[in-house]
Amino acid sequence: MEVLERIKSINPRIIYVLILVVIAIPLIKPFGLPMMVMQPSKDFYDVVESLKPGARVMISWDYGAGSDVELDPIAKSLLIHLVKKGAKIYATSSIPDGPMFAERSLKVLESLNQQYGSDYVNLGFFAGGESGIAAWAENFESVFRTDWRKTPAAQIPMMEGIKSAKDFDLIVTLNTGPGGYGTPDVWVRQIYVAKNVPLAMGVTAIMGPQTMPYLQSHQIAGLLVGLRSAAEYEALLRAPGIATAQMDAQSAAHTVILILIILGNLGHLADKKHRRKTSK
Amino acid sequence: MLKRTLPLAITFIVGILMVLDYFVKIPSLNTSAASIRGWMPLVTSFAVITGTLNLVAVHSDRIRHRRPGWYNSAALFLFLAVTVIIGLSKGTTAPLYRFLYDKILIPCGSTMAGMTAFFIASASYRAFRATNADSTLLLISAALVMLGRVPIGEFVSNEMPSVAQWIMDVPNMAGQRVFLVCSGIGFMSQCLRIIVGLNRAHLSGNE
Amino acid sequence: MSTSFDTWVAALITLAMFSLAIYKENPVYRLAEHAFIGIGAGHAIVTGVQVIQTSGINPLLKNAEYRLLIPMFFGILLFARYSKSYAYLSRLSMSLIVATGAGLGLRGAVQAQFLNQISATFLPLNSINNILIVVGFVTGLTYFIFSTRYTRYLNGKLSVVPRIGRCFLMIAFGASFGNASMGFLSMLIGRVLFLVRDWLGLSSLR
Repeated sequence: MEVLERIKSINPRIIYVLILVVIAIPLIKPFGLPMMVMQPSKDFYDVVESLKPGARVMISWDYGAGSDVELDPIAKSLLIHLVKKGAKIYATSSIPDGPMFAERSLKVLESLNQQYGSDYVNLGFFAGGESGIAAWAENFESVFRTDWRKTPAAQIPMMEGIKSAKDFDLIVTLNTGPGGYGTPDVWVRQIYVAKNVPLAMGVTAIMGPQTMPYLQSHQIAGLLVGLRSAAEYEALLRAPGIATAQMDAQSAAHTVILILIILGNLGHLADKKHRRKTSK
Repeated sequence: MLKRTLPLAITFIVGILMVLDYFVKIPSLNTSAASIRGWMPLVTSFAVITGTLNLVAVHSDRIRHRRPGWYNSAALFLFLAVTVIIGLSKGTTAPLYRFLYDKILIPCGSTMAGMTAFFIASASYRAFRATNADSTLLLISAALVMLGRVPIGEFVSNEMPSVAQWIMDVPNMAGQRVFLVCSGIGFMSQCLRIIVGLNRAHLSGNE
Repeated sequence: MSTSFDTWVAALITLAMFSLAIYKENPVYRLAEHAFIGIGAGHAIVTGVQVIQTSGINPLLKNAEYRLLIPMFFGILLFARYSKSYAYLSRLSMSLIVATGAGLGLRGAVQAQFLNQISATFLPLNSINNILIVVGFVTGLTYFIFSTRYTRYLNGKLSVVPRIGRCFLMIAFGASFGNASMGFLSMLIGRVLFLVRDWLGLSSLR
């Protein structure tokens, strides 16, 4: 009983340091716990797998600092997968921070011998959120006149023949949700509903549950949720990477959180019992 | 006229135009709607700048009146000025720009967001209690999802990931759909109120 | 341990931010926080100016696309809010932006967030999962009837309907909490990984 009392009054800073230490251990010495691949990740993989060589795929980096830990690994695996399928990649972003993260992720394409301008291009930021998506979905050239490096669109070979969203075989948003200018709702409204173009999403774990109704209603073709899905995607590509490596730290931290929840509840039950006794 | 009637008229006409464009095929109407949509990325890019100018106004006021912490505002101006000068003169791919972004902005933003995990851990033993049927259900769902989405869950039981996925796909999906439909109805009514001029929040201030 | 200046700056910034939770609010944290806001605001200005330049000024001056004068005009009007006498002019631009967003949002939401969601719930009642989705959705909706007191219609034995709905909502909240915890921990893991791998050189994870 005394232990539970003590736990209740523990200084939260001790918990913070404990979490830091518990996270650091598996990062220094990984446990290598196995992990199965769930159906949504397989479905997402199949969507990309079904693309024909030369397919045009737009990826929108709709995230900034913080969400990069979860969405960068998804971006990396997706880019590798698209290269394997011989797809042309068009990077863009509905938030000002997006192109900076896109540039970082696109570096993987250089190592895969992809040519900028003919295999992939970073079109940079488009303003306007929902109106912005609606604008380029209808008239691509009016919004993307240059790429992020300020090269005129007319001088970029892979921009030829792109008139609207309908010219893409798949559009993917890597999305951080509210706070971003183009939330998942907005993409569904303007890409799937208005243009009927296949749309897939990679979202942060926080956004995952609320995006599920779009997946079940088939308004999005595939959905990856957070670091877990990123690790599953790496497993499907048989290329375990940084997401897989971080899952052990997730295990360790969640074990601590679950123990804390149990201790907190035991303390609460003990409290209740004690109060009942004293009131008698 | 300019202060209230014209903005309300623009709101009504443009809003109706956007809605009608979806349902009616009249070439002149469709072209006008498409033109206005085409303007938006350019118009709103000005809004991106005005949004940050508000921040400048607030912090310059703090420096002018030597309010507590004014030197932090001065530092803010310094970083803002350096970022803008390098960004506009050398571009966002310049090494110094990337340094500011990758080595200062990203660590700050990521750490700030990551620190929320501390508060979740702290809340998990202080507030996450099974006090009644509802909170017990919430707690069980959260615990199963947490455990099922990390490899240690599989270590405990092979079925754990499937249980977590089932919660996400079935009861969670049904609940989230309720939120989505209800928030959708709220959003639609708000859009309608804006278009017909009942909601004028965007016209308030600036008298 | 890293010998790179860049890594040291990022590591010290990370520690400065952590100091808020582990120690208390302090001048180093405040400085880092303001640097973050300053660079973020600066980046937004740079990106905004780039878009104006590439989609507005350049085509206007180089290709004589005079039709761009209209959106440029509305964009410039937004700056009127900083003038006491002409602030009202910015409302014209605000009306245009808000009305376009409302019109586009309205027409899309009817389909995406309403009709398609309802039609996706019309499932054949041939499996427990389908039954649970239909029951969860219908009963959950009854919990959100605000226009009238639902107890007027769902009283007596029927009062169990919104109660069942509430159970589904609680499970959804739980799933959200579980995922949120995973999301925030991912962010924290990212920072700790940076410290132990890039800064301290204690990890070889790639």
